[in-house]
Amino acid sequence: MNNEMNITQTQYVADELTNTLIGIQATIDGQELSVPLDPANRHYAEIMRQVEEGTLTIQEAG
Amino acid sequence: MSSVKLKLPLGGSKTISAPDSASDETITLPAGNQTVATQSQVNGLGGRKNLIINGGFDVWQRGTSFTATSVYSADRWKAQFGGNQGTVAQETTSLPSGSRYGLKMTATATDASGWSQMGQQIEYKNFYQAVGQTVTISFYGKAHNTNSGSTNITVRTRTNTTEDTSTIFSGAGTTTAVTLTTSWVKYTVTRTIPSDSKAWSIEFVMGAFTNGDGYTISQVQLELGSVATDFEHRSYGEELALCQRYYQRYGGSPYVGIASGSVFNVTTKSTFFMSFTTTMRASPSATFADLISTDRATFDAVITTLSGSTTGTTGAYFYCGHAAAGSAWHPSGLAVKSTTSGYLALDAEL
Repeated sequence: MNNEMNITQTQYVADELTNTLIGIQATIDGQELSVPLDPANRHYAEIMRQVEEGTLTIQEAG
Repeated sequence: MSSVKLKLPLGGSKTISAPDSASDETITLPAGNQTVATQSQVNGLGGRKNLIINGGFDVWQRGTSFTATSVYSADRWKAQFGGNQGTVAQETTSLPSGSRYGLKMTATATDASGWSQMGQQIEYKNFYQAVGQTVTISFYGKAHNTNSGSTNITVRTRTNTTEDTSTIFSGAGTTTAVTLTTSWVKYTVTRTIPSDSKAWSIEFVMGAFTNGDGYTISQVQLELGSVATDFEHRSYGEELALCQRYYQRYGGSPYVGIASGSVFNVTTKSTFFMSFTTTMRASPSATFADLISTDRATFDAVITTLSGSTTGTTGAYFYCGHAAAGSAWHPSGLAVKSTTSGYLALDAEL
């Protein structure tokens, strides 16, 4: 009975002009989302929690 | 005239006066140790006693019926059915007096170990004044039938000491059993919000159920003090604006404009700048359906990807992918595709 999200795919997105990382493209609970790099964003916070837990790896920007 | 002066716990006093009369007069005060919130204790000036947003279930930006395992339904309200064995829907007909809508939880299977929960986490910025204080949760509830799966509801609150960390549906909680009936009844539950709380949520929990069990609730209120007062009705526009701090949905009709920009330096992408309707709680996640990059004259390019959004709490910069269209830096708009009800949704929920 928890609030864990089912995250199946994650990839960093880089700004096309500056090449700096600006977000993560993720599939969460079956929905494709553009997730900002904001610790207050619940999707980003959960992605980072699962990364630290060792259960999720974010692909490098394409 | 006779007067009694009461010293208030937060300072100052209140005077109760009775007019001179030849006959006996009775003034009845609340029983026991009940307290009613003073104006200085409520969240803001001139009202705002209800710390719950969308407690009347008036705002449904995401839709009005849901079956997902874990989903935000009515704005600010998240619902879960274990094993995806239920539905969450807007109730429009059977309602308590003073309600337009309710939220209806219904099991669609029989499961002796089944469960459901729905609830709302309150942002710390909106409840910091209530920590360490007595608060009262009130709501109208009605069971679908007389089965225990419908009538046995638990009101659960959860707390965490880290600001706005997720508490909804996770972590230890405090529970109070409530028995619903098949008629609308107002229920109240009293709590003290821990003095170290920086994340706090309210949940309604249903246990083992048979197919068709469930309940409907409306007029959910959280207020300071140990007395449940009348539900605070806010205007729809006001309630919508409060909800949009956490979720915003744009579009809904063909060619509704959402953002402005141009085709990028390669013609398979467009970039758009957008200002949000309301400042959001955090930088939002974005999702979309049936949008186009268009100049409304020479191209309507269907958006296939919306990636790499640089977002803040007041606006965003989006890269959108599509088939080759227009020319580099040609002006373009992000709009809903013809004949569809496409949308762009922004999510900054807790």
